[in-house]
Amino acid sequence: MAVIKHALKRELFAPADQQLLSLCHVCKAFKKKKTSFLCIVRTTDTPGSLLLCQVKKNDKNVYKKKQSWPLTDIQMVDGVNIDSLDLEIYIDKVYKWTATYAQERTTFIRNLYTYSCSMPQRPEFKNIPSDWMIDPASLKESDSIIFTPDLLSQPVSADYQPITDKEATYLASLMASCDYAVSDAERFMETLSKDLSILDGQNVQSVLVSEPQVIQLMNGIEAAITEASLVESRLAVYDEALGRIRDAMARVGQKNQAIHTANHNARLLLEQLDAVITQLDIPAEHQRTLSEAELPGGREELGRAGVALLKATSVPLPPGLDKLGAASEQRRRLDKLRAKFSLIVARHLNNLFIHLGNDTGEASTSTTDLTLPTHQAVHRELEPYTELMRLLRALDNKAFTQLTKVYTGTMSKLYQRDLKLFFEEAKTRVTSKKLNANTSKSSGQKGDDLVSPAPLCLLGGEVWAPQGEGALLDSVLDRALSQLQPVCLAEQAFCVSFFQLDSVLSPVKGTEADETDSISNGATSPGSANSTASKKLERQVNEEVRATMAAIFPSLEPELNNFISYLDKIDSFWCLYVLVRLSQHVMSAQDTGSFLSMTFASALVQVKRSFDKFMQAQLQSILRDPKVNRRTKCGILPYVENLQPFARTAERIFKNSDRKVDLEKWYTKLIEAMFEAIVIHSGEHHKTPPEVIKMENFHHLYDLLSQLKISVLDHERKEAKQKYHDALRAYVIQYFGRPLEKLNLFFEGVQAKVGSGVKESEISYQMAYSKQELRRVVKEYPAREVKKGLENLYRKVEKHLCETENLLQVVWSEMQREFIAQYKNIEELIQRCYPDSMVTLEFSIQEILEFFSEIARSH
Amino acid sequence: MSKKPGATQALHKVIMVGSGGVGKSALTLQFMYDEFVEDYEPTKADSYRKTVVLDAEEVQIDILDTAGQEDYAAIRDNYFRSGEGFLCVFSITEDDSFQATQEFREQILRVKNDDHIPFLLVGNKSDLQEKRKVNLAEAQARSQQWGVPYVETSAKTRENVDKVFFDLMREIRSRKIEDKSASNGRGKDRAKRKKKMCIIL
Repeated sequence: MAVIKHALKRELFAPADQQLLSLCHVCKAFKKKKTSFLCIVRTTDTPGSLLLCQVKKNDKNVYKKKQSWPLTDIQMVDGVNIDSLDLEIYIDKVYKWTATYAQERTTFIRNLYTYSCSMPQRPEFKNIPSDWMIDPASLKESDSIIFTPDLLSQPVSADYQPITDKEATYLASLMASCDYAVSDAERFMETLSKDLSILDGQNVQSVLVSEPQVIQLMNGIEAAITEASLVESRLAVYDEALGRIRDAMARVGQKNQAIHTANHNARLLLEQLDAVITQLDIPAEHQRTLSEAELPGGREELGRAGVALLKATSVPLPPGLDKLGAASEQRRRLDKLRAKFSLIVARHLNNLFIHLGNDTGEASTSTTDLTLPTHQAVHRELEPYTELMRLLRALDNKAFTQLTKVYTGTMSKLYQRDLKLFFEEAKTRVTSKKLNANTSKSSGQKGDDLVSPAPLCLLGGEVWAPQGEGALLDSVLDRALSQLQPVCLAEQAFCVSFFQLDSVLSPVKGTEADETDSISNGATSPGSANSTASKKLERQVNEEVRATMAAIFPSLEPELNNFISYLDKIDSFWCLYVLVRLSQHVMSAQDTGSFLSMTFASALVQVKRSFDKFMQAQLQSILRDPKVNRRTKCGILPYVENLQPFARTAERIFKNSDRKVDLEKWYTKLIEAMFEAIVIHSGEHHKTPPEVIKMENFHHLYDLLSQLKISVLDHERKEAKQKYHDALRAYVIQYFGRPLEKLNLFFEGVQAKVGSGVKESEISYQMAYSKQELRRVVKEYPAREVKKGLENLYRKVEKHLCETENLLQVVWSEMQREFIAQYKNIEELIQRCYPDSMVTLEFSIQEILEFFSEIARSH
Repeated sequence: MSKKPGATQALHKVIMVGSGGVGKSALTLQFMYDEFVEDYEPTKADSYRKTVVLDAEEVQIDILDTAGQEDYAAIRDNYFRSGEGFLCVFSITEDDSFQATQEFREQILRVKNDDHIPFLLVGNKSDLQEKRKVNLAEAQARSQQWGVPYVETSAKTRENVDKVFFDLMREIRSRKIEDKSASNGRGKDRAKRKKKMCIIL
């Protein structure tokens, strides 16, 4: 539809200056194939007239107007039937068409009606629904939209402009002004046209009049343009001028900056020079002091001057400035001053050291105790020079090192002497006490102990008693060690502060507080230094301190070792005391890295070695040199006997000591060795059977270990118990056989036969085990014989066993049980193997029991 | 010094008697080594020796711990013979063990041939009061009848353990002193007493 409409508009009506208003597909009634279009068209020339056109499409697909009639020519429009598509229009004749679409037909008819309304002579509409025929004039303008809903009706409202009320009033007033207007239209028209022409004329005239004014206006505009361009060129000139000024200003700014920089530099240079000069300069009074001062009087002045000098010499000159002639000259002067300073200080201190080297030290007031003199006096004397030493070290390291050497040299001599005397004294104390003790004991037997060292093999030795001097030795040792400690620590603390051995920790800049801090660190505990770096430094310091201390106390270690080995020589058992005491000192020392601790530690290693050697000797003494008792009874072997006092003493010494583990290791070894040795030695006695020796010794050992309650030996304790029981059993079995030997042999044979498969009932047919044989053997043991045998056995056992272990009752009760058990066994075998022989043993259980009671009563 | 303690120190021989499982070994071990062994293992016979301080005097005590279960009473004769004093132990939780003390007492008196042998009646396991079967009065009555002290002990808690051994040692010691003076004074006194006993038997 729209396409067709558009095509029609474009091809057909637009060229003819016509406007298509409404369109309807129709065909001739009864000729349905030939479709054509009915169009309502408005001519666009004025005043517009409305036409009804019939358009056809020819064979070449070109639209062509077939017929057209002015709308006014239409006489009647007949809708024929509301529901049909037919449409009859009466113009010059009746045209009958049939619309293709009902909607289109409706719209077309509506539009036709609407357009025809505006015509003076409207056609008649027949058979058209009344709601299709609405007079547009009777409607408001707003309703026209509803009334003409479709697009084709739009131009109707646009082009058709009914006069408004306002216009109507104008028109009415106009017409009223010519009272004839209504009556005489002709005249009215004339009047109007006359008016119109007058207005036209006036219009033309005013147009003509305005022309010169326009020209004048144009001229004005032209003048304004020229004026504007003039102003523009002027502005350009100004701009150029300003650009030049800007460049000039920038150059000025740069110059200003340069001047400023130069100024600044000059000031800096001045400052630096000033600083250098003041730093390098030394007040005159200090110079004088440095060259003329005398120690010890001028100590403080010298100290102050030294500080100034140090400050001057150690000033870091900015690079380059040190090449200044004046600066190097000043440096030379300073060097000279320094040399003087070091000369003064070094000479004085040197003399002082040597002088103090003769110090006797202060022995503590009580003369009865063993004391090592301290040299606090020396330290006090030297203390005030600490500051000077510090300066000297900073100013002249060589002189400082030299002084250190002198100091260590003199002090080492001093201490060497002291230590020698000290240890001599300690030795005499130990030995004199021992001598006293020995003489007081007046046993005489041990009087020559001093000349020939005590026997090394305490466990193997015949007689050994824990020596009471142990405690004395312990106290002397403790005293000696604790005397060494303060002296060493005092000397160390002094050295650290005097020679600034901790200077690595607190560099020259360091304050006094820092120094004292690190001194206390070095002397007592490694303190709370956390970082590894400071620990490293500390280690370095410690090493330095140790080296110095080693130089001052060169004889401490040898003296100490000498003392220890001396003690070892007097009584090797003493190494136990030394081990415990020395370990305690080493463990309790907090500064594990200090010289004293190191010395003690190395001494401790030596002591540990001699302790091990001692224990090794004990171990060997167990196996070697048994000295088996030659008397009738063997009894308890000496090393088993001696274990008790030995272990008790050792336990007492090692009580609460960290070294107990070492002792316990040796315990285990010693006991193991004893187990072995008991077995070996049990075979060596000429009278006592090995089982008895084993039994008694293991019993003793078990008892001893139970008493000692040494936890590490618990296993050995149980082992000893087992070995004791085994030996007891072996002894009982072996010796019990004696009272009934032949009977036993006989029945052992019987047992063997039965074991090898001979029937029990057929035993009696064996030659060796016939009834006759049985009778013969049984006869050999009448009750009287048995009693005698048992009595003999009892005596024998009594002879074998020693009094101290008190095992007679144990063994005898075991033997009684065994005897009864064997008796029963034999009886049973007789019952089984010789059931009808009527043979019985010649004694009854009751008789045996009576024998036992008799034996009991007779002892 | 330590070699021959017997030479200088007095030696008292104590025998532990009583039924099986009453705690003879437990008492002995507690006294000897301050230890209490929980697990029970029947003893055959075992001997112990210890040096103790009895009233400020160092003495040695020999303890013979004997078997409670013995098939033949005669086997005991020998060690009863060797004893100088007896701790006759029963368990307060077991009436049979209390009844058995009668038999032990008789055998000891017979073997020792002495009415006044140092002897203590010991009721062990006093820590097990809730299982008590032998009441105190009963035991005391028996001890009075025998003219011996009665003590209740606990080897587990160590209650009265030292007391029984020390009391017995004191009795043995005073008995020895008495014998010595007797033999010094009227030498035949002891023999007479012995003879009397024989007559009774």
